[in-house]
Amino acid sequence: MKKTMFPYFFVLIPLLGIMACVFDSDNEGVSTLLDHEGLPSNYKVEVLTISDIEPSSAISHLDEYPYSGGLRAVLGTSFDLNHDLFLDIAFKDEDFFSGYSSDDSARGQLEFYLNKDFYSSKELTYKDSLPMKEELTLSYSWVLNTGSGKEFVDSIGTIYDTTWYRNINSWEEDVFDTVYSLKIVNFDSLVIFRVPEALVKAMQKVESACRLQLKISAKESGRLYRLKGSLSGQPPVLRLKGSNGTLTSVSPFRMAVKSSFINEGDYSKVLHSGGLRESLVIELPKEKIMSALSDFYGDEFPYVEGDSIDVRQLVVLAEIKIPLVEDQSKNTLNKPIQMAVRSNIDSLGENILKKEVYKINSDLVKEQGHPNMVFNGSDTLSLQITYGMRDFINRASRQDDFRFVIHLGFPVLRPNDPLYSDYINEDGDSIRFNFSHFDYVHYDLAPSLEQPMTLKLWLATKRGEEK
Amino acid sequence: MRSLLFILGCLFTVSSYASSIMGLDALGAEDVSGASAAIAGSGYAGHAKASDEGVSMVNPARLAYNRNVSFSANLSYQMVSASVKNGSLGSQSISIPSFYLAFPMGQFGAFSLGLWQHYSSNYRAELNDSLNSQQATLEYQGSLSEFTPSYAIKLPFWHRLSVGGTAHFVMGNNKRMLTLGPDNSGVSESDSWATNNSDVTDVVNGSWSILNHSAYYTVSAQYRGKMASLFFSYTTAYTLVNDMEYQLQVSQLDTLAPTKMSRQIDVPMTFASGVSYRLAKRHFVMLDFMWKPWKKAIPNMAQSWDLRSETLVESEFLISAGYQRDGSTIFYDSYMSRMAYRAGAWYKNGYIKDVSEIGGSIGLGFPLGKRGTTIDVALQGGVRSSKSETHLDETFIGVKIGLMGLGSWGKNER
Repeated sequence: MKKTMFPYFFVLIPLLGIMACVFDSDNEGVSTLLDHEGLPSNYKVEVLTISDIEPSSAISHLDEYPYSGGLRAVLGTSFDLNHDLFLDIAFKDEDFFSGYSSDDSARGQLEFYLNKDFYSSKELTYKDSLPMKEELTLSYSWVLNTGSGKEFVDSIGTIYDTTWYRNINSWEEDVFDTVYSLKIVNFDSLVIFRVPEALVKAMQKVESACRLQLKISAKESGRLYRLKGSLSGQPPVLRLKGSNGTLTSVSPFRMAVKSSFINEGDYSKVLHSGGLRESLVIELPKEKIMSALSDFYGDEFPYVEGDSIDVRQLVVLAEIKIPLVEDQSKNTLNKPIQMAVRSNIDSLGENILKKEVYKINSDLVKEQGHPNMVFNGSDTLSLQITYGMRDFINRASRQDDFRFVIHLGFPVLRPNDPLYSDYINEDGDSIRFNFSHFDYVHYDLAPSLEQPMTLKLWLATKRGEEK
Repeated sequence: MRSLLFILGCLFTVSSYASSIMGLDALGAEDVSGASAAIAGSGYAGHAKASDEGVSMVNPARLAYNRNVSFSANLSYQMVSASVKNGSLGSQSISIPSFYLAFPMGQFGAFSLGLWQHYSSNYRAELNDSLNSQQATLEYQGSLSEFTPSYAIKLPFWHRLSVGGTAHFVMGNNKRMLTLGPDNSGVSESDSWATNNSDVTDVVNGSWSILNHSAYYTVSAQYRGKMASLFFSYTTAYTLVNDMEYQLQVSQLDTLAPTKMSRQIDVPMTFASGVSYRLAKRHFVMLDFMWKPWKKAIPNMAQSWDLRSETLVESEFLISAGYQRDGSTIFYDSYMSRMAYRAGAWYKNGYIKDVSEIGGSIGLGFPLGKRGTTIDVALQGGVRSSKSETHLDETFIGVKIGLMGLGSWGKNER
């Protein structure tokens, strides 16, 4: 070491170190400062329980608009719902059609792959889920457009999915029923639906290229068939065969499913599946919540001073407990199902629906399972509505009743596992928390929502100590 | 020079926050006299010393006697230790409180531009005592800065007298964050799961401006004699506006909608004066005085918890006395002879009621090269004491380092 560096290393740096320590703080010092300045050193958690809340309204809505069946398609019925399948097929095969048009023995069939992931899942105790052999009545209807050349086929591809969904939503084509004997050898085998003769005859009029929009219904099936979609890697195939061995095969380039009620009725508090666009909107009366807060804090609620934004306290966690009456509800997979929650909150001046987080009460879960599930044998559904309640109290003077939205999620394989997610155990095995396919159920919340609910708030307040 | 850089490097490695713990919810700590390291070296005295290059925020008229285009930047390192009954409480801070550019224009006067951090409230403290369920992080980040164009000119008929003025355009932000852990002692054990590990942060964000005006102003007159120089300056009163957004948050993306609030701070006029007397060749004694009669208490930032609603004020004054021995301008003299030496002391009655400050400083000016570029270093130390229980007494040590670069652009005055 150079002589000139000696004093820096052995004098200056230690000196600076000592000075840094002298001018540093410890816990006691900071605690004294906070107390001296009138600031707390933690926030005191306060719990407010508001009992006997009757919802001011609760209404479910099922969006019957078509949705993509590209990955997973369903066909058939599930309790009070019917699920129709739509295929959009466009192709050009001039050579084939020249022979097919004059062939009296022309035939056609649709080949589907079953959703093997679902049917052969080891987690599923859904024995005999599909009959190996049954009579199945299928209803076909279609729109067939003919054209010629590659340009015609390409032009079909430029039609947006949203446009197609809009068109098939108002589908009013003639229906052709056909009774078909269905045979399923195993879940690897193809399910083959014969194409009705009227469609074969219509296809025989094609000269060069066509677009076939096909709707298939199985309203009388009494069950749901889970099939692979056009984007799954194992898409359905339409095969047209002539008597002289001519054959053409084509797959739909897109598919859609339309789920709708079989019969008219009061389904205003019924949920069916996480795979559908449906939800149940519940409103809790503002007056009841504000009055309870007012009694608790002794302050005015809602807060109307200044810009009326209330930042006097923060909801750290909020939980609503709904008594469950499940005797009118039915499922198929015999698994508990998560109930997902979204709340209406303000985001930079706009109301949005925000998905609620779920904080796990490990002790409770080990004892009773996750409280946010239905079909779990529990008499209470506990849902966390922290974001929503936080925002509601924050802007109470500008809002009406508190509103949150629930919908069904995935079936749960390990309802008593506090990890609440997939993981790899000590043996290196993958442990799945959720079953990765939705159940299709009939869950009627009407009797449950007639029971009074309980709202519990964990609060942090900025109010000072009472003196 | 290498030694100096080395010391500077060491200082930077110990960086944190805070130049004072007092008045953090009011205006924070005032960096007086334009935060110049040279002035700080002589105990904040020397604004009347017209032979020095550079810019004085207290006395803009002095600018008229600048001979060279100059640039100066100042760096401040402060360590503060507050007096508490139990434990220790201190902090350190590094900031760049000011920089200036000055352009002498001969008979057309002189012009300067500057940026001065007039008040700052930077502080951070952490408390993590899991045994007593105490978990808190308190953080202040505030800077009330001023953009300061100045102009000064010597009277055409009497060059010994100059007049000047500065417009102070106020800008900057302030912020207070208090992050707290939960205290579950008041809830049943079966309910404590809900708030475990759930921190809550109280956040105030504000910005500074002046009510109904874009700036406030300082005007001054400087007399430069052969032996003595003196100045008088007057700064207009103004009302500071601090528009704030106040909220509670769980994280930056999970917040309450903020409530908007505003506070107004009536800053009184300032009168300042100073004299510089030449004892012998290159030896000067300086005496400065500043008075600011605060009257209206300052509303504190976003009151809640048990915070005091306002900070009481009193007449602020600063009396400072200093000595300076200028360095030789002859390049062939020894380096020690070319260095400037400064010492000073001050007594300050701060704007916070019952708080006074007494301090002393020593300073050195290190010449760099032939043109007169210097590095000024000031070491300061002192105590801030409060007569009431409202504030904690403080001991402070500070280092200010300033770089004054000189150039010969344009036409020098002859």
